Amino acid sequence: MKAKLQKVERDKFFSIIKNNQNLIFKICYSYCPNPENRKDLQQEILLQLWNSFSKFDGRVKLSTWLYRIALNTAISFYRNYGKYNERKVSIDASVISLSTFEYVPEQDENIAMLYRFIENLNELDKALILLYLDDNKYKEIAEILGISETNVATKINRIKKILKEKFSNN
Amino acid sequence: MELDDLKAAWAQYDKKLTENLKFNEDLLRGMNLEKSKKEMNAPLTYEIFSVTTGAIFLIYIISSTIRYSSELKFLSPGLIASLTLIIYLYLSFVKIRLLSNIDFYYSSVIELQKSVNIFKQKYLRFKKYELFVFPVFAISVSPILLKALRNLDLYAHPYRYIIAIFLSLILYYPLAIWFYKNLFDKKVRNTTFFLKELIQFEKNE
Repeated sequence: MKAKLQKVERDKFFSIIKNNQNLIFKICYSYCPNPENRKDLQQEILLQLWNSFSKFDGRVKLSTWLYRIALNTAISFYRNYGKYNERKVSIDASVISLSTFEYVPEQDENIAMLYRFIENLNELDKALILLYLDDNKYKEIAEILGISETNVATKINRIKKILKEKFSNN
Repeated sequence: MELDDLKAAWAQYDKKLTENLKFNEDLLRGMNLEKSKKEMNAPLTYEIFSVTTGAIFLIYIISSTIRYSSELKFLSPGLIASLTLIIYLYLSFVKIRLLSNIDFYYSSVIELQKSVNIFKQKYLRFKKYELFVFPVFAISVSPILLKALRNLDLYAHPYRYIIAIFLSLILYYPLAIWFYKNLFDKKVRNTTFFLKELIQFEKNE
């Protein structure tokens, strides 16, 4: 009975991950330009999501919960890469990866430029801009990050100005 | 190009990812998911273990000090050792309280990062206390512990005891200072700096 419940829980978790793989992929890509580190970060995010999955009771939206765990893990990973590198549960391949070489984000000029811009932001602004680009409302961004809506608006406007300057210089 | 134009490009990119991303379920099934759950609780388990063993040790030292309290040479080191251990236990309690209050599952990004970094900052600062007070504890606990466990009087050979204290202090403190500067000092500075960044980010500035 317990094993059956565990299987149901795992299947449900795998399905959530599959449905939100774009989100995890983009966070990993933004926080880790290096493909090797990216693989480790992805593994860490999946483990943290699994750890907190049993505690998820629908108090917040699924996307809010996913963003919070994934962004928190990415920020901590970004700040303490060495520590995570010592973990023993390493895997050789990525759970979420691009299927073929048909699409390479680096070859998409605008996306490559955006990723370069995101790379230069600090870890908190990275989270903010990712949430904005993923079309989250200011209210949702505020809830995920834990700041006020007006604060989100002010920060987005500031980043917009910097981005405009950068792109006009290029 | 403005950020809003790039948002449209980002939406296109998301569509391309949906078409091209591959999900390797077998690999995810093969990952040791349960092991990571245990790893997550490891710091709290460690602190609880430290408090329990520390408390047992404290009871033993206090009872031994009371037993030999008629002699000042055992009473005073016994009291010093007990006091340092009580402070150590108090700091461990603070760490347990901070760790138990962290909500890893429902906190917002800023809230969780702040809680984790406040814990980290305290942990690193407490390490300084532990590192620098350890010789005081070891020197003061030795006479009472040897007397209670083996009925040995360390003061029977005062010169040997003084030389041992002197040598261990000369060797220990430079090493401890080097150790703290190289392993913890930079971490304390980074954590404090990040905490400031988090507070600033939280404010509408």
